[in-house]
Amino acid sequence: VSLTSPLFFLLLAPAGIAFYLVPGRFRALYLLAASYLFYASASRMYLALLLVASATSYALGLAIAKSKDDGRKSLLFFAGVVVIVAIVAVFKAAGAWKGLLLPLGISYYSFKLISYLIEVYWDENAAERDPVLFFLFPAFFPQIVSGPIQRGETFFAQMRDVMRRGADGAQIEMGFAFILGGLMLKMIIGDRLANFVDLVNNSPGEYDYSLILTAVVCYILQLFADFAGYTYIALGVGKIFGVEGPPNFNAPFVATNIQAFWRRWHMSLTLWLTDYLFTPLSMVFRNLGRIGIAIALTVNMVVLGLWHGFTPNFMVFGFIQALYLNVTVLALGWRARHRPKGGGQAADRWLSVAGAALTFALMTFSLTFFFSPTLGHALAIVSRLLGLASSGTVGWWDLGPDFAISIWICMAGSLFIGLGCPGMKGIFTRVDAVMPRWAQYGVGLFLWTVLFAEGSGQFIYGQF
Amino acid sequence: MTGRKALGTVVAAVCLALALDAAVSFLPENPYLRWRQLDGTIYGGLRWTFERIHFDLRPVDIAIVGASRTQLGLGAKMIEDRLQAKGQPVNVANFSLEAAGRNLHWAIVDELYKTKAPKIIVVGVDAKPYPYGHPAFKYVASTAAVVRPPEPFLHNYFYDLAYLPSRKVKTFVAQLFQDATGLGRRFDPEVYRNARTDFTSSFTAEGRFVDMDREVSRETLLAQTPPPSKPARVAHLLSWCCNEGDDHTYIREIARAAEAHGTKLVFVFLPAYGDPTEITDRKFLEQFGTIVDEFNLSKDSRLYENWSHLNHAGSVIASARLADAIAGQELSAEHSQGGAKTWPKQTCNPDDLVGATQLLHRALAKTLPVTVTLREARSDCSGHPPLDLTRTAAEACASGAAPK
Repeated sequence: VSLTSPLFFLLLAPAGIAFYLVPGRFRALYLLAASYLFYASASRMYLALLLVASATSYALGLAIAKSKDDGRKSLLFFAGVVVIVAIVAVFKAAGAWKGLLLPLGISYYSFKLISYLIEVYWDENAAERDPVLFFLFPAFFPQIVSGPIQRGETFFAQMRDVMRRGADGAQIEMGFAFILGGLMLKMIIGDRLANFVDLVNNSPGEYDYSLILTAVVCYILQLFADFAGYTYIALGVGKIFGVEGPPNFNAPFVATNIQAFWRRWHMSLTLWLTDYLFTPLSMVFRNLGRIGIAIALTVNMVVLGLWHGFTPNFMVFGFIQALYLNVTVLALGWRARHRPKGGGQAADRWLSVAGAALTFALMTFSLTFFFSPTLGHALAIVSRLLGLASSGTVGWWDLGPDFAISIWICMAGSLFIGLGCPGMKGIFTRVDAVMPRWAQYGVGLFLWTVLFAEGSGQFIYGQF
Repeated sequence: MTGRKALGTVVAAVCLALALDAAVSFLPENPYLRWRQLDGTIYGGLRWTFERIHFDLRPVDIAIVGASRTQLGLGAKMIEDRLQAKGQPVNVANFSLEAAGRNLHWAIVDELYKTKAPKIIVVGVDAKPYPYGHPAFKYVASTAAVVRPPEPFLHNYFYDLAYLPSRKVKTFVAQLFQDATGLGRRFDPEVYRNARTDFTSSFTAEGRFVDMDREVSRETLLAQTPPPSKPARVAHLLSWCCNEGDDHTYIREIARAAEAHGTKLVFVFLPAYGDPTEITDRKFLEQFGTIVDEFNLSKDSRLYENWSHLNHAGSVIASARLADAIAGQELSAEHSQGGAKTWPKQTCNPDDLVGATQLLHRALAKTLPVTVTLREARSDCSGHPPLDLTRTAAEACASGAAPK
């Protein structure tokens, strides 16, 4: 059952109502059953894997918390992390080399479990003793397909809270608004852009330079619409059940450098890596100064790349990000040292615009390696972009004016949302004054039903 | 805010959206645009189907509907030639299309009866009935056909219904802003003439060359054969509680329409390689027409292009046997006197006729065995204003005069 399928929403409504009708103390159990049912509907075979990983982490978490001996504590902790990382690595390797389909959500729930073990290792009070609550944490169905990667502490606290109280109407309404926004972003914009990107990406040799360039630019906008759209849906569904998941995007296209970009893009993953990989590594290499930072950054970004899959493409993507970040760190340091005192605001503004444009261009380029099925395919596209290989003859005109117009409108829409919808707050305030919320949602829902693009409905990040 | 108030907001929003969706479903719609929505896809043949039915004056004596097995396995020209050799000149049109789904076949038959009077409708059947609808049905079926299917809760009903508002808006906008939406309503005789309608010889589809002359080894065919699939539980449940599934439901509808128009039904079974030779719902089909299934092809690997489809050699045999099976029946009593006489009076729209005569004049007269003359066609439209042959077929369509 996909998060965009009509069946999902048909089931979600009664499931949401039933959740609040169930006595508080049974709500977690109810949600756990629903989550396992959801998982089994997609991947019955790998449900056992989820159970094993959850049970292992639960037992090890309690053992770590109980242990008074630091050596034994470390041993248990490392054993837990190694087991989970090994499971992920085996499946990622099998996926890359044998074409095996990854167990649904393995990259997400494994990171949740690792973060839990780390937190318990650092602070034994973080251990969760309620098995139902704990097993629900990795399995929570709105987050299992593609995150966001929530931390255990906040999840357990929110679940305990929702088990004590009644339904929060404002939260539920916000959840509905998030779902609607996510559906519109994903299915009106993302899927339409996906049709175009797939068309060009399937046979780039056929298309002329302008189409290849547009498809490459289009991909970052598609990825944003797709993944942010999914995240909004997941967060919205979570809100209906009283769980506030962490945000994944915060106007990423206003970022004026790569460092800022990664603080605004797939935030739950980058924050996870920052907390549990980059910061510890920086501490380890702190004696090496800038070189230590560079090593920590490089390892961090390569792991980020490989998290998506054990393929040369993702490794190259990771290395490119590491290069970008290291250069950014140097550039920011240089700029801080050489910045004229009392510099003009206008100059700063122009620098910000130029920085945002450059960041967008750099990310766009690096994502060529992300969306290409093979390294050779990515290099073929890059060589065409750089004019090193001849392009095909199919141009915009051959695709038809309507197709071109719809693509450009969707690109502009995705960019606008990625810039944080500048100016929209005022408009919504004015609309709020003249139109009740239910009518706004109704019109939005109607627009979604008539404008959605016919696409696969699959989420890009669902494959990771 | 309480949970109940939030629920009220959500319910009100959903109701408003449904009301707006229902409202746009009443928008007028040009049927030609409907049938052109899938141009450039594997279902692009639907455009030709509509044009053959509405803009080509030649009669359709034998219509073939079915999935890709009858699309690749039966050649209209081969059947025509075979029957011609037996002294029965007929016009055969193969409207078969990729993918299974009986509701689309009904939609084609329904459209066909608006302008033609076929003597025989050949319906491709499989060893087991396919319980779902066709993915293209939601694009071409009329609003009424989507909203009110013959039986409740058919498997694809809600999916098809959910697409209706989107389709209505799309075709309505295309009607207002011609070509800006990429959904042209101009009839292009060149496109019609060049449309591929016979798939019994090699062709290219979706960038893949399908070599219909190749022979595939038995081992390869067996390796290609997928394991038998069970119908999804939801479809199974719906078939159990509410309906018989799309196949039976729409075969009944096709039979009903055929009976009303005095058309014979012939069910043709072109087996996949290694398929059982028995049709599971033989008794059901025998209520409505003749079954032609004694091809004995499924054991001969030399006749298959892949595990599911016959190659050219296979299609020659299948077409000949089908022609032999239906030879001798009254196929086209008035054919030799001109197809225009089989054109029902109520659909003799002068605008369409202009389009059709232009088509005949400009494109078809030299390339297709047209048995109707312009004079005959015009004379059949007596009582209508004199035809202005300077108008094009495109204008005929643009005027919204495409047959309803």
